[in-house]
Amino acid sequence: MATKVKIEGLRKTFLLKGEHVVAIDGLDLSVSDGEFVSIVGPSGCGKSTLLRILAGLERHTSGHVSIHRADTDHPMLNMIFQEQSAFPWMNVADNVAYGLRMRGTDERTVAEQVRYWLDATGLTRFATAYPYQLSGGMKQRVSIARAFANDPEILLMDEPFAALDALTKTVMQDELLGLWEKTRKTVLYVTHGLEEALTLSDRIVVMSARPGNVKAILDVPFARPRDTLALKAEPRYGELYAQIWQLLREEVLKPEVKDAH
Amino acid sequence: MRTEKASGTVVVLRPEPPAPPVSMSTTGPLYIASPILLLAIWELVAALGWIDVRFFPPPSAVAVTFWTEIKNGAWFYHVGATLGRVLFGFIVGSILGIALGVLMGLMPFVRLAFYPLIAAIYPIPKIAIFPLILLIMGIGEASKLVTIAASCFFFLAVSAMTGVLNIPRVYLDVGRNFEASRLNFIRTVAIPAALPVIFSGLRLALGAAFLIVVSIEFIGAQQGIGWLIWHSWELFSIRLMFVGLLTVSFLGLLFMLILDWLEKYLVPWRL
Repeated sequence: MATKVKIEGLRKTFLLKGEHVVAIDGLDLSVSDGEFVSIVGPSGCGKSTLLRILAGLERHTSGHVSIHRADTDHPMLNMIFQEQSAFPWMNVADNVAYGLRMRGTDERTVAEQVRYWLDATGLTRFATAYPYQLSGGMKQRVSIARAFANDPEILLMDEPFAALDALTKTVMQDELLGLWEKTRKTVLYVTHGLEEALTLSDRIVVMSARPGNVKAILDVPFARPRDTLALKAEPRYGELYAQIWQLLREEVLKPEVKDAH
Repeated sequence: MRTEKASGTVVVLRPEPPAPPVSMSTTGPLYIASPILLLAIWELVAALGWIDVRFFPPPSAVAVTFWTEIKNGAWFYHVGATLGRVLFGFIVGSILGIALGVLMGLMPFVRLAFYPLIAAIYPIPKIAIFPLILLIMGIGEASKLVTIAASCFFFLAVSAMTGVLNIPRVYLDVGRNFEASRLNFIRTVAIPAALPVIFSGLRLALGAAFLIVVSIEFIGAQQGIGWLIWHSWELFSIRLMFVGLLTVSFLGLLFMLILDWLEKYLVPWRL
């Protein structure tokens, strides 16, 4: 498969109270077109920063990052954020239409796309509601619909379900899986949830504690389309879970490395 | 098995019947009861001679004067003059203030360049610069309008800037991530997100606009409610003075209600 995202020797330092803190140091990663890659790692390992760099919301300090752009009029990438990010001042339909309108799409196409994605995310009933009238899960559906409706080549998701209760989270994972299987976009998915990573991804990147780096990459061999429940009964699921858990445990227990530069 | 005699007391929690819905029909009477009661007491103590009616004419007497002023058209003449000044100054000053405030909130260099100036001029009562404006612009309507607009301008510049600076980062990120152009970003993110804070600025500015317009009309006008109040002092017509005071209070209330309605219409959302 063609390489979609190529990252080589990525380094990111932050200025924190006048000191340079190395958030990511020498990270290499390449993601194929249409691949679903999850990134797990201890808190502060720079996994969110990695997504923000790819999204163009932050610049890396050094290293090489390239994204292969298909010759289409699709936007390059959109991000789904962990926190409530649907605009509170727009109703659900206007939120979902946002990306399309910002790209100057004609209103007829906007209306069609909005109708389709409201339906696909179960939001049709709430089209004219404002986000404050919705539950946490529904609000996150708005953000997901907004990103999918914009139809980018790459989706970046930063712990999109972290703030949801366990039950809602499972339902949303199922729905996301369904949406993804229809579109097969390239996805980079940051999460703390190992089950989530195992359920959704083709590959799982385990990051080391700060300064962040790739500690291991594991293939998730389960066939698609996946059944979230049946998956958990597979012996390989438990093995992989234990293996990732062991890798993360080492990182969490590792004493923090103080780095001057 | 041995049964022990229970010690202590039983606490029974009282149930609460469902409350009737709160509506205008239940709160409405309460809303107007206190002003009416106050007027009634005033009328009564004036009739009993407990207060000096030369300074506190009874509401009925004020009402008679009010009616005379309305009938002979003088009231409309003065209200028209004051309203025109307040509306023009408030609208122009607020729009300019919002424009600069939003830019200050979004662009650090604009903020750095203007903030010290704004912070230094903001606390000066704008009535204090009226003589200076009079010197520059002469005794005409323009100097009055500029003074009122200036006082509104600073309230809105500060509140719009604060509103924009307090927008949660994630909404700014969404705007950038969906590649909103600068103008679209201001239109779809910065202004709507700052609108609740802008509205509190508008309320402050409105109060200031009335304060300034009455003060200006005291000293530098031949018409307007402020002039009416000042003139009635010169004539020692306390009733007329109360007509002026009531009119200012009524206009202020009316404008606040209009702002409330406008806010409900423009900010139908909550966080």
